[in-house]
Amino acid sequence: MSCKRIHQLVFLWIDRDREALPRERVERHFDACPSCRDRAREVERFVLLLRSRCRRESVPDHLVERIRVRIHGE
Amino acid sequence: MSGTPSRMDPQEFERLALPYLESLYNTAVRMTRNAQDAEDLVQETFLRAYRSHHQFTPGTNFKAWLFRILKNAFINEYRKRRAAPVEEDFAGIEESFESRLDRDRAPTIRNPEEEALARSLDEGVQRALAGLPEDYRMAIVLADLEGFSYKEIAEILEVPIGTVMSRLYRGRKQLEEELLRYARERNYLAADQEPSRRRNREGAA
Repeated sequence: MSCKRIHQLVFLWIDRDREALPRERVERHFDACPSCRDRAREVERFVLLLRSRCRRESVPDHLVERIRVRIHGE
Repeated sequence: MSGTPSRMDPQEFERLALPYLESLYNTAVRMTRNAQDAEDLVQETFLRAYRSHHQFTPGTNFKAWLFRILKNAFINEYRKRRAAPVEEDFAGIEESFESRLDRDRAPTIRNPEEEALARSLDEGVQRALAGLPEDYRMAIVLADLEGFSYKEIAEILEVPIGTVMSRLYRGRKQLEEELLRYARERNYLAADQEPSRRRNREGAA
């Protein structure tokens, strides 16, 4: 597996536990290529940062009521 | 009425669907980038789901089904307002800035400058996400904010899994570049904190 291909896959590496990525082939590449492994760690930290920095909005109370009224009015 | 599928009891529908309101609303906010539009989109989603509930196959993923309706409502309602697609500009930037941000996030007592920096970086994340092309933004919101699997995202977006992976790759890459640019413009990355120099320094330590 080439470094070029790995540089795409590092952006998906954080999903390795829940999805079928070619894990063994990527790991083999990392064993031979520490700079790609470092890059994967950087991207993984970046995605974790993204997830932690996106605050969640609370649902406005009136929205629940609006939806109820519309559905019961159908 | 003959020929009309029987309507579900509204209370039964609420019991099934309202637990997903928070997720649907947050996704709608990210996609419309506007609280009022998000409310309209979510209400439209619930109405469409209620009206077509007989089309849902029991035993399949109800949450993904609701999100697919949200996606379709979004495309129908917002396509005409869609801004010109953002040009991809992957100029080969491969550096990273997250270690600088990691330190900022560390649970230490912050001084006022650090507090301001943290707030500004949060804003940078929101803006960079809002600026992504819709296809990439939707994939990232579903994967990184809502925690859907690739398979579920493929089902929601009605595209192959390979397309989901491609959108996630391109979207995350573009976000990283945008945030790096944002940090540089505000001088959050001092010269000695540029990733390549940081590595050399750590290597020498």
